[in-house]
Amino acid sequence: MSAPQNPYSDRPPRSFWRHGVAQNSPLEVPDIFTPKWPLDPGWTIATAGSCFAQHIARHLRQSGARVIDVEPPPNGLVDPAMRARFGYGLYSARYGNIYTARQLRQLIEEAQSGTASAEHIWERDGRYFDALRPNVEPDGLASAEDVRAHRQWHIERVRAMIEATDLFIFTLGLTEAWEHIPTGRVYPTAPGVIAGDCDPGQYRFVNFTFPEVHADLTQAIAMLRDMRGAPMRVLLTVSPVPLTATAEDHHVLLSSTYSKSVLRAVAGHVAAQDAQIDYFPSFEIVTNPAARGVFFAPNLRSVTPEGVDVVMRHFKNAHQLAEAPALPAEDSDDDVVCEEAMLEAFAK
Amino acid sequence: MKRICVIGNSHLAALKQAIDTGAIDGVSDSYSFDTFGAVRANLRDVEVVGTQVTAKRKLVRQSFLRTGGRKTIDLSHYNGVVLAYRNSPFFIRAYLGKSQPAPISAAVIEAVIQGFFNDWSIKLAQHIARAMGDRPVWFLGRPFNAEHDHHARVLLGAVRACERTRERVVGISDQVTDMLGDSDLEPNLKFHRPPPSVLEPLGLFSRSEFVRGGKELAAGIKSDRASAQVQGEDTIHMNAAYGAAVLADILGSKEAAAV
Repeated sequence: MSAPQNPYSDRPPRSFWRHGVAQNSPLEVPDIFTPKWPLDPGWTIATAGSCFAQHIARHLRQSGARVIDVEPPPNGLVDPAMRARFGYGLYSARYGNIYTARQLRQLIEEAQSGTASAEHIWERDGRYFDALRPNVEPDGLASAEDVRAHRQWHIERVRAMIEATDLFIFTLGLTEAWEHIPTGRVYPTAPGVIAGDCDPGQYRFVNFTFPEVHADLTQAIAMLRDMRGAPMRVLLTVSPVPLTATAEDHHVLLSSTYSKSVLRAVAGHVAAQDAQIDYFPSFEIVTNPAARGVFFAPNLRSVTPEGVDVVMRHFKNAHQLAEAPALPAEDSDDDVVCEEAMLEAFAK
Repeated sequence: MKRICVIGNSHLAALKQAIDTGAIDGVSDSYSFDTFGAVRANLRDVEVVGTQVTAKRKLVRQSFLRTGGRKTIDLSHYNGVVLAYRNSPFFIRAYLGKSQPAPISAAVIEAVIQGFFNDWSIKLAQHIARAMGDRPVWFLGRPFNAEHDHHARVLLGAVRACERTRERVVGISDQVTDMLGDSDLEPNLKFHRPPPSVLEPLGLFSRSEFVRGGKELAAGIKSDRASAQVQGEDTIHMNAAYGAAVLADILGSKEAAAV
């Protein structure tokens, strides 16, 4: 006599907490990610998002994926730490961290218009900062005019990036932001933190709701596809990195849970509505209770390199991406034809 | 007679040929030159002990012997030293990315220059400068790529097509020159920019007429990489006329006049 049937009887092991989580190593969670579509090695990939997205871009490049970089570093800036300090190579353009869906939508709107915003410039001690990406020039620029020129270039490059992108990977990070009241533009950092001043008549705190994030994200994706003028797939992730601080009048843990819940719900909902949008569970892999927090650094915010490796291993395994062999260091081109030149000069 | 020591890799060849032909305007009679070379990046293995420049590897010692007649260089014999190897910090390519010329901040330019200063080539130059006391050391690096180089043509095309791009690129070049002039490395170590006479009008690339017999040379190269890079033509090794113009410029400088 067979066991009585119920709606869970035919579910695979991954559907049960005991088999899917409690009895599995957090280093390898079977069936946690089944891609909707295979990643074509010929696709041009663009990445953006909160700071966790930097890891995705780096690992994809190491796997030989074609991650576009429309604002590459100067050839002579070879120190990786210095490249990162100036926002080079972190994402597909030099936009710095894009924490909110609103920020993404507004950047794409700006790129679509082709004209950089002229008014979002902060000043500190005679140096001028692009308020929309203040971290890419941590010492600021010499003049507001320089900021405008750099931003116009950036916007033109972002547009070029979008027009070339087959797969856009976006990592949602926050729901909290600071908005410039007269224009509605949101900033990646609060006024006064890096530069500028926190004038309450000019700026206000916003904490986006599910409908707002959903509207911003779907509109952003629609604009991306419109500008691309060809099919564009989207891969969404949610950063597992908790909030550093909240501007809400309650505990940061509540704010962090709210933000991540909204972002996760929006990402899942948007992905469920569109066959060309997928969701990759980096958030779940890092926060998996089976890991008992081991993927977090001692500050309980940053994800450890081991944690990032685990996340990306799941991604690469699911998409059957191999580790690309390390490329030989690029020699200075003064190596070319050098023996012949010397022989000619010193021939007796 | 003032004695000048010239140390370099393959780019020493242009200077050596200029010296041998006696074609250095106005200075040949008052200077004598010794030349020491080691190809590619082999000078990386050279060290300075006291006033002696020595090589750790036999290969490099043999190269010094073949090119300069001695396995070690005694800097105490010289009134000045010219260094012609590795990248020139003045060459615009270091400050540009792989795409079109982007705006670049002064802070990023400084970071690029600091990267040069941290390179073995400048560390060696500093050691030589310290050993030379107050006598001048000129760091030339290698020549700028010729104007017919593929990347040069792309950049020059962009510069000629757009006034804003021209101003940006020339502005970068001017900032680099100012910053290198203000560098606080050894006071007797001078970074020498190639004279305008060997550069195309914008001062970004070497004039093509100064490239040494490129086509014949490149035709014999077996390396795919080399062939692909130079696309059938050597665009970085210069001729005796280039060497003569550069040496005349160096030895006509106020630092040379003081030795």
